Amino acid sequence: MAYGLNTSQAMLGSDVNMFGLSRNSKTYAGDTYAAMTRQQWTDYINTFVPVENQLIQYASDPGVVTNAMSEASSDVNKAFTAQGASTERRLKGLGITLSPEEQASQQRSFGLSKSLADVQAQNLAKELTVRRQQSVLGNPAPQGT
Amino acid sequence: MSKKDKQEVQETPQQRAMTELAMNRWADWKQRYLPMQKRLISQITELGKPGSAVRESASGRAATDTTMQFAKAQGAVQNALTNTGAQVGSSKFNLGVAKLGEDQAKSRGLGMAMSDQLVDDAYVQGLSSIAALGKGERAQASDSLGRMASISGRQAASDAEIAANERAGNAALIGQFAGYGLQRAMSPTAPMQPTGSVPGGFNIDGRQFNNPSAWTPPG
Repeated sequence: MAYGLNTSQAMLGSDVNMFGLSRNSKTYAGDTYAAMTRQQWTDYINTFVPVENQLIQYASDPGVVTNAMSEASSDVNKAFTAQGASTERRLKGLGITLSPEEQASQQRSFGLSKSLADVQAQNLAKELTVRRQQSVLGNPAPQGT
Repeated sequence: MSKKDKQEVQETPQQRAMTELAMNRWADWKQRYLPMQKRLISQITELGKPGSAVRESASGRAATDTTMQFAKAQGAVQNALTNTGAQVGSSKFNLGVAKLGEDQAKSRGLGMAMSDQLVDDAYVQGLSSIAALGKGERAQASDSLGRMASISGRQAASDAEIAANERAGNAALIGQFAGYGLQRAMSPTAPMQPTGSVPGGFNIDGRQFNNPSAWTPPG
């Protein structure tokens, strides 16, 4: 079974082929082509159509864009949460304690950066996802909005 | 010979041989290539799912790249600050170090978001290639995955370098204004470039925002 030819090769010597058609039939070639065409169509339906449906679903579902945006927002929030603790550790490592004024300034600036990064990441995700959807649909010059 | 017999077309030996050849080729494809294609379809479908192993790995890599690049930038900023006379513990030094953390978080968050987008690219390109295979066209499945491996590292290095330069400059500026109130001095002096969906953004108190919710009142 090394090269996969055994199924039909094994039947070369027999009177019937893999579709059960007799080699002695006067319409053997036509019947075999017809059977093969039907089988190829079935293979296409079973193997490739689900993939095409996945692509169509990706390209046409507005939820894909919403999900990409919320995923991007979640990424930014995770990053800022992790970084808050990391900055604290870094300052402690240097023996630095921020004064109350410095802390207030730092927190305000941190919140502002986080909001801007969040919006930027969501916009980026939206634009790239919409472009990708339009590309799948065949737009040669996809727009992000 | 009847009229019916005259109209009947006999299959030639060549036609029958061609049929055998086509059947053998199809059987070969079905046995050798179809299972591979099915495996590829399954891998690509898995890759596209939220929280897939590939997504987690790409996201982790983006975060690690950022951490590594900013670790270098951190040293550079601290050296730049001390070289300009800002001692450890001074407001100039403290806030310079703290602000670099913000830049790192931003780079890390956007890097993770971008890595998600690159996985989506790989997913859609993979599906498109398989759909094209179904039409007998050529596959280009691996291109996006290759690109994905290198982009996050380059982006993190670039962000770290920019942030280091910017923070050394901002920290110097903060030192100048320390006597007038740190919070005012922390406000950006140059207008921010809006990148959002609102053309031109919003201008509030001389500062530029692309989303009103990102605005924090002064005070």
